[in-house]
Amino acid sequence: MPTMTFADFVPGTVLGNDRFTVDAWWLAQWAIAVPGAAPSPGAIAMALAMRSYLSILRDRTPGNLHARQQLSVRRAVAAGDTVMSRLTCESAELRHERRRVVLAVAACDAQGDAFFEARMTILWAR
Amino acid sequence: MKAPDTLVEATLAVEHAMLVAYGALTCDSNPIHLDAGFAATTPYGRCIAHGTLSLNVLWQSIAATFDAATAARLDLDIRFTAPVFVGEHLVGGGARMPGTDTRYEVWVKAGDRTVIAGELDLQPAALRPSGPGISS
Repeated sequence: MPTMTFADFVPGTVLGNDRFTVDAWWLAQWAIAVPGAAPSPGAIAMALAMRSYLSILRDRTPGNLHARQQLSVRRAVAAGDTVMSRLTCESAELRHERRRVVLAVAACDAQGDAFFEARMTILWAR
Repeated sequence: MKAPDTLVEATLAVEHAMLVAYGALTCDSNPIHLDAGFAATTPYGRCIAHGTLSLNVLWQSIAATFDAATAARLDLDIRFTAPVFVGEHLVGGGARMPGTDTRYEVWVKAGDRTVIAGELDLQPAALRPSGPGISS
């Protein structure tokens, strides 16, 4: 996928899908990333939402700024769970000379039962 | 049971190894978090933590305050208001909003700087029946 610039975002477009299983390696990294605390449902959902966004949109313009994060946690993701996620562009607008992109991640299990939904507002660099 | 007036405060010291591991967890290879040489060329001048890594101190605060079932079903809406640098000590907490049992003003602070601010709702809106995106 070529580098995503602001002009490439079309509101309502599905940007990609991801499938990820929370495995022992991932949880071992967690122990280093956030030492001294077991991961809570919200913490895991947040990291998985970012993983979905960043693994689907791998080639981004440098200098983007994560400005706002909304997260709705519906149930905990546990070790061994497989998370199916979809990344969608909700909006892309120029506001006060800032390129404001809102991306949404919806995540569920293989049966379609929701784990979480996330919406990240990113000020796109160019 | 009456909802607590405040969240139990939690603390987190940000170290470079945490940024490396969190970057691996989230597929975030942005050099602003990982490469001191690159970060020196940015307005920040040094590596900054991922916003959602810093948010973990708030998740710890929520986990310390509420039972597991409550912490597994909630809405959070926050803004990243200032950068967090390696070596900083974060404190996460919150206070119940007047006139409600389920909504809290929440924050993460680094010293006297508020680096994350927003709202927690323990009685989230219903999910939309289908499709991507979140209810708001």
